[in-house]
Amino acid sequence: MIFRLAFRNLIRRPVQSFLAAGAVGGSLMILIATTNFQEGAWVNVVRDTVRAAAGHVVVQPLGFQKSKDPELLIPDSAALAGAIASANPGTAVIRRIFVGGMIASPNNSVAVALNGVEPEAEKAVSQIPDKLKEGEWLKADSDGEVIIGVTLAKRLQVSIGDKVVVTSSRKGELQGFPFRVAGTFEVGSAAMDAFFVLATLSAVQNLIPDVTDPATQVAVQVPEFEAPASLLGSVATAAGEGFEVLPWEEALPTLYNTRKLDRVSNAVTLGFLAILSTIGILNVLLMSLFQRTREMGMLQALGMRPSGLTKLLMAEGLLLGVFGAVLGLVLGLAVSFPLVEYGFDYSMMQDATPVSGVALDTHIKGIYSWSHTVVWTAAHLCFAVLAALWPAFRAGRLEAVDSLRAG
Amino acid sequence: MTIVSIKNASRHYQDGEHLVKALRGLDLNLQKGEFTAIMGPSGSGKTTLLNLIGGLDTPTEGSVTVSGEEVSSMSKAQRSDLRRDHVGFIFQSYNLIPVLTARENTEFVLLLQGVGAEERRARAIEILAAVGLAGMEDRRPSELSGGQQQRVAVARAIATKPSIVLADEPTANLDSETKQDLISLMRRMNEEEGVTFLFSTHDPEVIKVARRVVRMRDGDIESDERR
Repeated sequence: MIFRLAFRNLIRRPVQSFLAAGAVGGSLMILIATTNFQEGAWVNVVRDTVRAAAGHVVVQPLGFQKSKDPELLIPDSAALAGAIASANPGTAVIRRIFVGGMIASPNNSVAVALNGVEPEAEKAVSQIPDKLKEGEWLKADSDGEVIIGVTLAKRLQVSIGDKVVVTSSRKGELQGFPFRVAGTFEVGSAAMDAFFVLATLSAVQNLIPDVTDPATQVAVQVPEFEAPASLLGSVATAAGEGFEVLPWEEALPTLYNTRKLDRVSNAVTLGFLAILSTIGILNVLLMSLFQRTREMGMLQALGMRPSGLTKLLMAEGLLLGVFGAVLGLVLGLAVSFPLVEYGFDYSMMQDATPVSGVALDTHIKGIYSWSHTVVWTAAHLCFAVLAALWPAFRAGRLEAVDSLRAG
Repeated sequence: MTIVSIKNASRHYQDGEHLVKALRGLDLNLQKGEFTAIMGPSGSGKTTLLNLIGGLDTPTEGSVTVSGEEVSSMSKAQRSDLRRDHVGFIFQSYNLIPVLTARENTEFVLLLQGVGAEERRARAIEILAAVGLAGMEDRRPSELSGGQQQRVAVARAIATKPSIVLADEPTANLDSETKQDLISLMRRMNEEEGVTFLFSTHDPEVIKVARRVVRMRDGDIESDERR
């Protein structure tokens, strides 16, 4: 009967009740849709970046993560990669080498980041093979070829088949090799399109004659979005002593911290929105209490205890919260649907933003983040109940004889 | 059997800088089955007296005992329980719960007592029929006339078979025909069901049928006439 009474009390003031529940519903809708879109964006960013710039677990030379010194290298990298692959069946093990250098054409020379990759393995994880404007992706035997960004090609005034020279300094000695431009890419990031050069791992290794089969990074990837917790230990055991073995969160700290900061700032902003929305409930219940003081006195005269009045107001707050939450849940999922199914392309507004050397896709799709949906819905219900506490407490403190005298 | 016993009860309250003495050392006993009218001019203390008997208020001095229980030493919750189990209220302005139907209003105190749904429903329908509202159980107060609303209030007040029904000017807002019906109804409940009624009233029609008339003036009893 308490809930029946509470429900009917709410519908006798339909406009106020609808506005209060609507504020909660609107807030929850924004939270669910925003969070689903944000989490979808982060899934895309993390998946693409982890695959293209690192791995779920990376093995690097000791001290490389902090210093980024290109002279720190893993020797005999194929043997290490083989040991890791056989200890972790089902994973992809990819070697990369990162070298700073200069690229020169007859017309110009530019400082670049030279990445040595295993063409077939890299093709499976990198976005660049899909972003070729001209030419072809590297092959295993393409040691004399490079892929460069379209902006860099323009600066060098070269096109497919033209000759360039890549030079790099190693322990004070300059090494240089000629290459032909096999392809140009455009990922939409000004920095990457102007300064990234890709060549085969073996071709870049030729610039480092004093180390046998060197690599800067051996990356281990699993097909799933998240790697099992055991992967890190298993890779560390297979790699043995003398290496840094890091999960992606440590290998790509900028990405990890940016996601964390984004989630926290989003939660704080949206949390404030949720709290603001529940002020509507507080307002409706306080107004209701003032307008129904005489009725409260009558309920007490009939024998309802002060705690009964408290329960009645709490029930009204809870019901408003439930109506709002249901409304918000339905609207939030409805707004999320096109964001999840079709996504949103912001390329017209902004270039692809590079994160850890990976240009993010400008077409973002949301995901249904059920854990966040449940948490936000529960939070709104809790806020609604909290908003009802003060009016409910005041209702319980009313003196029957004074209430009955109220107009 | 004494239902209400009031001994030397005073009720004073502060109104700004003035101390108002609403009751001044009043003594009164009410027996089971009495049909008593309290009359007196405005400000004589009628409503204050009803509030003390109903446990809505407590005396500044003296004692008020209802069904053997001392009201002034009770907590708010205990006084609520006393009203729920022993006291029925009928107000001048009906004071029905506007969002509940006639049946639900009648059931309400039974619900507070913890009576089961089926028994509540059956008793409410029976009592509504007894007060002449058969077929109107599902109407809300806004769909009933003033007289019908007051009948629902009577039904609600007697549904729990209380020790006493306190009625604060119950006929004040009714036309003469409806008033006569209501007085007859309460008289019948008193004679047939043995319900004890205590009215505060100015209405000569009510006073005419009362078996006991208590006249109040300046917070005390001026006369107490049994018929």
